[in-house]
Amino acid sequence: MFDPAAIRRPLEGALLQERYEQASDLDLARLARKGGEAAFEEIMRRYGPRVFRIASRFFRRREMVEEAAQEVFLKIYTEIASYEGRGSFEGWLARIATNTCINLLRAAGRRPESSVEDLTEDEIEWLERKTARSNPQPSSVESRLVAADLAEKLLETLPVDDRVALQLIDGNGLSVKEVSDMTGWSESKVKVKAMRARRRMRQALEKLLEGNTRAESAGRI
Amino acid sequence: MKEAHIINLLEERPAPEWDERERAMIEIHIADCADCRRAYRAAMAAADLLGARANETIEPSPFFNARVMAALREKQSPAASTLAAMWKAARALIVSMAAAVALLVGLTLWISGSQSQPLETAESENIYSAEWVILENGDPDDLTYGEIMTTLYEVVAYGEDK
Repeated sequence: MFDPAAIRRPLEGALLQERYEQASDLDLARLARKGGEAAFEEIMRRYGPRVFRIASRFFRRREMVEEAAQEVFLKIYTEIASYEGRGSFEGWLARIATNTCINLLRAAGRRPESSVEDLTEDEIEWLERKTARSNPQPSSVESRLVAADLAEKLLETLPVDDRVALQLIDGNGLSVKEVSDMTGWSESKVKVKAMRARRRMRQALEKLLEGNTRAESAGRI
Repeated sequence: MKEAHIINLLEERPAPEWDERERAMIEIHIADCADCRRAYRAAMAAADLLGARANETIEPSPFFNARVMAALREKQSPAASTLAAMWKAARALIVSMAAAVALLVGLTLWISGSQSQPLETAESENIYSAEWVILENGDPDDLTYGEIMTTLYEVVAYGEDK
């Protein structure tokens, strides 16, 4: 028996597939909620770079960033039913991504503070340049890489929440309100954590810079 | 304001948020205060380090989406969920079996412990059993009065039972 619906169904599917790119976030979320894999793939295509940018703030090695991003998308898939379209999808996703990364960082644990004293030659040189006012930092890729390495060393010694607040505000230039929205913490909590992290980071660097100056003077004598 | 230390200001907000007045105040203060100068230099170094770290971004690899979709399918597949359910059920069974075995071992030890004491006592009380008299003692002429009485008592009791 002739069934026109049987012919219409694949055609509708193909048309729908073509329209995913134009579909709104809310429509994609609704389709993904019903098990639409193509809709979820479109969400990943759309927000993959954003999730990677967030994960890159907390992890440096590619495999760690990818692992965190995968964890984020698996979480988004299981929690997509809770997105009702009240706020922006991107904000909802950023919040899940940030909190997933924070949990992964917590699981990884902190580095002992004494480990910061084991600096590489390049890091010592970077600090030496910082100490000598007349000798400005070169803005080469290598120098930025050394600075990022040293930053990571120092950040790993901080409590995870303090580190997150400091990185997002002082590193990425986000406002206290934005960090509060992303983490779900109160604004006063964000401020306190950032202040505490700033103090710790400054004190650790003061120690390193002082040690460096002392070593330099000893070398001159 | 020259006397007021600037450390609180360094910790309160990040450097890009300081206004012109605050920057001028910092410059004047650090010219005379060595402690604050050191703190200021460290704060500036921290800002540079954090900026360098923030610029690092890793892009998704070409196979990333496929990998996530594969992980999703694996998570949702009936085989995986059946295996998970089986493991869940088996885990409960293993735990209950282990508990039963532990209980049995405990009971066995407890029972054997409580029974061994009276057996030893019985043996010590009844050292002149008929078997002992016949097998261990050999010559009936060497028996004591107690041994003879015990043996006789058992024989009589055995005869009555019969």
